[in-house]
Amino acid sequence: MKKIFLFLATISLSLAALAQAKKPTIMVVPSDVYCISNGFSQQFIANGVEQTLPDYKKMVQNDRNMRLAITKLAAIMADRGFPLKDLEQELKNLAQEEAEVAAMQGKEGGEIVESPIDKLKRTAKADIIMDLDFNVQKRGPQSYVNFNLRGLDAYTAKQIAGAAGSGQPSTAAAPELLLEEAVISYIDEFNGRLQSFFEDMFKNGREVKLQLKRFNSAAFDFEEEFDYDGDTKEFGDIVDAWLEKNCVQGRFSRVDGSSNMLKYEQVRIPLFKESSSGRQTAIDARGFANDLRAVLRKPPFGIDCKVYQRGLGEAWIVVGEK
Amino acid sequence: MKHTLLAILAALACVAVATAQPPMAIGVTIPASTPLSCGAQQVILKKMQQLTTLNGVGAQAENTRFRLTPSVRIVSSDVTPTAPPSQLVKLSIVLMIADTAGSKSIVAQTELSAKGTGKNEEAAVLNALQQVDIRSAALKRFMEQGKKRIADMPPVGHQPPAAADTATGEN
Repeated sequence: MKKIFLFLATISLSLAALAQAKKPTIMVVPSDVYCISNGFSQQFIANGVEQTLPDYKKMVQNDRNMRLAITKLAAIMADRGFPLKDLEQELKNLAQEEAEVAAMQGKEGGEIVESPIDKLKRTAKADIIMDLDFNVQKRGPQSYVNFNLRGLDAYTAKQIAGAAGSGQPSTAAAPELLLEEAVISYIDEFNGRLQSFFEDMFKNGREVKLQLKRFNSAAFDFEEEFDYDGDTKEFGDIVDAWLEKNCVQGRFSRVDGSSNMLKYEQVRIPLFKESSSGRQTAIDARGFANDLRAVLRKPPFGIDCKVYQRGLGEAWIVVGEK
Repeated sequence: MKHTLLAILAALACVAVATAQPPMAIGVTIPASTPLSCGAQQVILKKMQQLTTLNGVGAQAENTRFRLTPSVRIVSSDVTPTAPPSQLVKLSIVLMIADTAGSKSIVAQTELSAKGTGKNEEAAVLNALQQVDIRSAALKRFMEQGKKRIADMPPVGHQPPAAADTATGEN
């Protein structure tokens, strides 16, 4: 009883603190192997190569077992303080949005401008994906469920929580009940890991990815040297120095770089920063990248940059123009 | 005096009519070997017809000596593993103005690139073709260059004066 109270108290306190920060969204998504092995897939040919991808719309319209499983899982997670985004409703919202954007017209005949990038971004997304796969197995007259549930950070691709196993065999229970029984026994451990992820984010900063790229109109490449802070360094090294100064505990990792791109992972950014009015405002990867953009606009660089947001946890800075 | 002036004016008018150049006209045709679907062909055809009309040289293709031909090729195609998936294509569009009657030469040529996205390749190609801006500076330069070269070309059937034989000095 005391453990449950402490566990609930920890969740409540952490969520209260996180309530001011930008909270990650969570969504259950059936795994690729589940969709493709159950016939919910689409074929594409790109550059002469055939690719098979899950067809989530066909899955939500035809697979009652998975829909029930998602409902049960969402209820379990909501009861424990983690309300989920619904994939089916998100797909419907996207289709509706696409139609409304196409139909909308101003009073003077203007239409909404939409670039290919805007269309590419119109997808169902969440910051944490709960990747779910299950199948019903038979052992004599009894059925049981094998399941695999992974909590994945959509930006860093890290698995932050996981639960996999089999439920108790039963002769009478329906698949969704078998799944519920199987998941219930593992879900507290799963949620515990998810909670640890949130607590780590609160304590050590949000882990994001940052990439620097350049347009072909940029006046310099990333191997160009500049005098900055009393030292002459390559542009890439100057960005490293800036990140060391601005990341939480100076934590970041430059995983790749060339004259045209710099790739940083495990970048720990603060959850809040002080705005010009003196208030603490919540920031994400885009807000952090904007600070670097402000530095690049000033001498000795004097260059315009585009900050391209890829959700809460990833941002690109493209140097050269807006 | 009055009759003399009228006669001179009439003579000048006849000379002007006799020597007037026919209006410049460029028709648009889609090559038979194009890999585009019917829908995409219609989109690019209409775009190019708008381009020629915008530049004052629009005409029906069957009546024109000079033809603008767009040649479209898919340079790359990518699929995103998202919900729902999207296909992104990058097109190379080569525009040529060619002389179909006289010298059969290519009068002007330019290349554009266009990118589009959609639920499948055809939708992505249509989206890319719709992004082509017929008012862009590059297309304006292309049309101006084409018109200038067409204006400098002799009419069909015109025989240029025989060149002197430099070896023998004979005509």
